[in-house]
Amino acid sequence: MVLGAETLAVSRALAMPGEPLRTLPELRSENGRVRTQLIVQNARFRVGDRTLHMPAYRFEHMAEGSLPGPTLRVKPGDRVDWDLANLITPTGIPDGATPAQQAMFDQLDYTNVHVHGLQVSPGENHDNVYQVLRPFCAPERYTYDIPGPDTGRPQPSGMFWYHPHKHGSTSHQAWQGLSGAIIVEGEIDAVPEIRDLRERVIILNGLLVNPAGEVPRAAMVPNSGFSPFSPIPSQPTDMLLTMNGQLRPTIDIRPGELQRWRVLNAAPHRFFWLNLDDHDFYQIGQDGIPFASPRPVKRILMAPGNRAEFLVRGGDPGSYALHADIYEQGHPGGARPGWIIGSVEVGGAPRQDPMPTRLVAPPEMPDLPIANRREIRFKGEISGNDPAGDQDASGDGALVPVKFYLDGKVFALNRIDQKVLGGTVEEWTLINEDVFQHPFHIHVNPFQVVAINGQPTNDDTWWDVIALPSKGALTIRIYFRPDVSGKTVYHCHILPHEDNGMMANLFIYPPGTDMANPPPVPDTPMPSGSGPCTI
Amino acid sequence: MTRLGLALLLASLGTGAFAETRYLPWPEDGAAPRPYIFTQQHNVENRPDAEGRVQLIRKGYPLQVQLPGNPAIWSFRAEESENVAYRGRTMVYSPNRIAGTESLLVFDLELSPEVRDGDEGRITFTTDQLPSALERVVPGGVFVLRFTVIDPG
Ligand SMILES: [Cu+2]
Repeated sequence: MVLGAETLAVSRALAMPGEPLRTLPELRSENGRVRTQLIVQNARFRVGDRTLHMPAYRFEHMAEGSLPGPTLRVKPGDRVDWDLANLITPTGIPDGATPAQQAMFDQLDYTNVHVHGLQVSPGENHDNVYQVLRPFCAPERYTYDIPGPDTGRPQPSGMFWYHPHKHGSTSHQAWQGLSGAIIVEGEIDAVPEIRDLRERVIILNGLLVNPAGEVPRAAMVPNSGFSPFSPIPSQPTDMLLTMNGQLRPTIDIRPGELQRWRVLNAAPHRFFWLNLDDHDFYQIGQDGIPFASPRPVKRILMAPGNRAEFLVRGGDPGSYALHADIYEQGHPGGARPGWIIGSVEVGGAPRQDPMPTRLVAPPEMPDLPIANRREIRFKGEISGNDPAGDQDASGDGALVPVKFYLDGKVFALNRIDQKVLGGTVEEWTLINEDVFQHPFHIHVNPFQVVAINGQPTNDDTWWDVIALPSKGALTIRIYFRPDVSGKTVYHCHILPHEDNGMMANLFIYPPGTDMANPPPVPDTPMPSGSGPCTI
Repeated sequence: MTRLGLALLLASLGTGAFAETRYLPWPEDGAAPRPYIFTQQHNVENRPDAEGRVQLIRKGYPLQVQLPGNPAIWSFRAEESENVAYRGRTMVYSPNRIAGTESLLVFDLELSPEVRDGDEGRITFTTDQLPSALERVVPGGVFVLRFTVIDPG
């Protein structure tokens, strides 16, 4: 095993090697429709030598929850309807917590669901991340109309995902592994060299658990060590880096066989710098958006929220380690340690699958003038020395453990931070004042990176999450599709940063709006009630 | 976490009502136990907003205190500590995270071997050169963590 120089301890999460990578349960749309319930309910899972106890997703037809959640397969033009049911009961309660103290963290069991990367309406009963669903309250309906060819700009074919997005609870629930893949099938799946390949849907999670196998239900602060966060009050924690909920599973492949891997980093904090011994990756898509041709790469860096889709060709027979390489992402106490997350077993009858040379025509950036240029500043405060509020907050109020700002401000539900016009192209410069490589994510519309620290990139890759350079800047170009308007968010995809303020509101006005005098945005109602609904 | 949630947490953690509670053993699964880690945010000394905060520590787990420093150093105060033993210090490079500090000072400690369920204890560290970025969270450069030992096994 490979360990980072600054690792203070080795994870106790040793593998049970040899277990084959599991295929996650799937639900596929039929005749352009899917209708189900998405149920979140506590379950127990055997991971390595431990039993974990945490909420897990399942679809209505499934008897048991899955860690991570089941896969949804759809096509552009489909309509997805699901009712989210929250059956979460508390876990991870600190020793000695009184009922009153426990109630302070009730919101860690509130949830909602976001379909990350789908270019769908963010409105009420659609991809609405302002929804707050308390446990055992009536299920909440979500409907997604995935853009089809009739829109002129169909949803790209690739890997997207769903996960909870309740502000304040997102990191807790991501550390519980609440995440699932959404595969949009389309043009790239018809490429002859790709159509018949064996496919692996791989979800990487970072599960932060106490010795009871539960995620601490408490405020969290960063620390040095293999497990990067500690609760207040403290509990011992461990970090389990899993593939499809397994520790170090094996993936079988034949010599010369091409396999299609779709990989999602669903961990809330850990970057995965993927590297397979003696094998290259042939990347065919990023964040769900396919490339024009495969790009051979030795390693792929995945910030939290990123997806990478690539082909792997089996080499000489043997066993090869799949690494999350040591990576300095700016966390206090140094680099996240390197770790072997799985292995590839090459064996069986050789094949010689042809490598595709051409894939599909990627979406194009419309040739429009830049309608607006903006700057967004990223800054965090992890000393624990500041009272609640924005960056300039002062006074004798209670100190908060950590604070993260966009433009000096923490998230406020009804402050509209940016107003944009659908159907236009804008350039945003994302300025990172920290060494943390905050991964920027924006809902609904993907973007291209046109400059790094002011220097042009000449790169037409589309992203929906991208890590900012330490103490540097990225300039992105974004097209706001004209047929989706409403209130939504952009934020850091290190979810403990998002939960502690690093999120802001964006309002997309429909084309034709007079942006010199835009209509006011109605307030999103504050959630009412607390604790579970009575059963 | 909402600001309200945090304010409530910091205002009211701990009422000392744990004495009657039963604690379930944690499954060990034969592996080395991970440490309880305490950072500057766990300090209770001279922190009205942390008064009454309860920290229970299960017997058998290592302890770590991690405090930002360099150039400031932090020193263990044996005479102001109780029921813990000091097991050494590491300086971990951590520049540009917290103003005025280049490193994290990582201290290993453990419960005194003779402690029993219900015993109370205290860990104290001090510095003479408190970075201004820590002056409210560790007032006066005195870090104190109070705990009660539990032994569910
Ligand atoms: Cu961040």
